[in-house]
Amino acid sequence: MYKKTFITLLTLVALALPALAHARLNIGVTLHPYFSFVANIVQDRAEVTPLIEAGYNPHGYSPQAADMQRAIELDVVVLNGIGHDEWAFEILQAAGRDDDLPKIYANDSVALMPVSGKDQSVNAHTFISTTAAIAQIYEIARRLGDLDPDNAAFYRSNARQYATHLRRIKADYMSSVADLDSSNFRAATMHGAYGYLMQEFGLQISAVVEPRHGVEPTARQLAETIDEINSSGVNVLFAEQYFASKLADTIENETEVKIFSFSHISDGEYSADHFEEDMRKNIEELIRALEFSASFDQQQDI
Amino acid sequence: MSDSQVIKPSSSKWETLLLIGGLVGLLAATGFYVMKMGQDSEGQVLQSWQVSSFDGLSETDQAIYNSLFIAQDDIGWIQYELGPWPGILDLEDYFVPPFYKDAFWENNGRVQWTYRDVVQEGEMQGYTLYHGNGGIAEDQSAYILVIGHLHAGNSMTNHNTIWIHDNPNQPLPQTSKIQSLVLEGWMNVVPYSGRDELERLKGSDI
Repeated sequence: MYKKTFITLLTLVALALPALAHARLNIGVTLHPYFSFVANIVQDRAEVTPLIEAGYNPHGYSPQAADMQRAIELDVVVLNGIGHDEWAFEILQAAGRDDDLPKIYANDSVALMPVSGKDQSVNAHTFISTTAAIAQIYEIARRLGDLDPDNAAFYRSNARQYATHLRRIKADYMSSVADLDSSNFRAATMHGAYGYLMQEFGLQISAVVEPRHGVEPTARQLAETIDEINSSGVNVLFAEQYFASKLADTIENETEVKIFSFSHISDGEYSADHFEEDMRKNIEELIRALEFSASFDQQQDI
Repeated sequence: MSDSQVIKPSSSKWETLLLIGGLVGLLAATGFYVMKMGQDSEGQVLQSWQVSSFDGLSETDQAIYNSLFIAQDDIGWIQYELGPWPGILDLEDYFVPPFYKDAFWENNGRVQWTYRDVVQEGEMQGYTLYHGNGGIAEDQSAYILVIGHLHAGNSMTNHNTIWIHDNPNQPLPQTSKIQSLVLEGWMNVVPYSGRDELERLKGSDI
C-alpha cells in the first residue's frame, strides 16, 4: 500500500519537475551590460543566458549555429534594439523565434541624444553611462515583472537597490573631485560613444574626431584627425580601450592633447559585476583626465 | 582586304534602356535604404508649444531633461515603496539627479529645486510638482516635472510631463491649469525615446 503511494508520489513529482523548471524564466541578453543588469534584477530567481559566447566583438558579429540553439531555449530576450545587436534579429529569425519570443527593448524609455553637436545621428551607446543604464534597468525590471508577476515586486526592489548602488559609486567618485576646476576641460572623443557618460558628469564633448569606428585609420585619415584635433582646441582625447597605442603616440606627439581610454563594456566574460567594474574604470579614467586638464591649464598659465 | 569583320548588334537601344533602368533601380533602392536605416531622428510631430529633447534643447537643458526623465521612475517607485511623494531631500538621499548636489548639479547651473506635494486646491489639484529655477549656466531654462496621479480633480492618472521656460528664473504658476503653462511661455519637452527610434527602424508593429 505504502509502496504504491510512494511510487505514485514519485511519478507526480517527476511529471511536475519540467513545469517547475520552466517556471524559472530563461532570459536571453545580447550585450554584456544587459547580462549585469538582468543578473542583478533577477538574482537567483531566473536564468540569464548570453545569446552569443564571451570573447566575440558584438560589432559586426556573424551568428553561429550554437546561438540558434540558445535562442530556441529562451523565454524572453533583452535587446538594445537601436544599435550593436542587429545580429540578434538574424539569430532569432534563424531559430524560428522571431515572432513568438517576447522581446524587452531596454531603450524603450530612454530619452536619446545625438552623437554630438555636429553629428545629429542617434547615439545608441546608452549602456556606457550610469544614468541611462538605470533607465534601462528600470525598463527591464518593469517588463520582467509583467512576464513573471509572482516575482515583480522582487525584481522592482532589486532594480531600485542596484540603481542606488550604482549612483552611490558615481557619487563617491564625484565627491573625490569636488574641488577640481573643470571649467577648462576641453574633450574630444575618437568614438561617438561617450556622450551619455560625459553628460551625467555635467561635461561636454567639444568634438568627435572618429575616423572610422573599429577600423585603423589610413595615413590620410590620421592626418585629417590630427588637423581636426589641433583646430578644436581640446586638451584631452578619449579613445576606446584597445585603440592602437602606436596611433595614440602619433596623435599625442603631433598635438598637445593627452589620450585617455574608455571601456566600451562589450568584451570579456559575462558577469553580474561586469558593468560596475568597467564603469568604475571609466570613471577613474575620466577623473585622471579631469586632473590632467586642470594641471594642463596651470602649466599653460605659467 | 582585311580578314576581320566588325559585327554590330542589331540594336543598342535595349542595352541602353536596361542600363538606365538598372541605375534608376539602384538609386531608388539606395534612397529607400538611407531613408529607412539612416539615423537622423525624423518623424517627430511637434506642436508649437512643444520642443524635442533630442535636437531642440541646449546641452545644459538636455542634460537636466534626460535626468528628470529618469527621475520620474525613481519618484514613482519611492512613492510606491514609502507612501508619500519624495521631497528634494529624499531624492538627494538616493543620489537622484538632477536633485543631488554633485558635479552634474554644479556644471549644469546649480538649479534650485522645490517640491510641491499633492496640490490640494486650485486648478492644479491632483498634481505633484518638482520645479527648478535660478540656474546660472549658459542657455539655462527653468524646469517643471509634473506628476499626475489618482486624485480628485485629475483625470490623467500617472501622466507625467516635463516643461521648460526660457527664463531661468521663471516662478511656478500657483493656480493655473496645466494648459495655462503654455500661455505663460512654458514649452512641453517631448523625448525622442528608444521606442521612437526602434519604430522608425523596424516599423510600429515591432
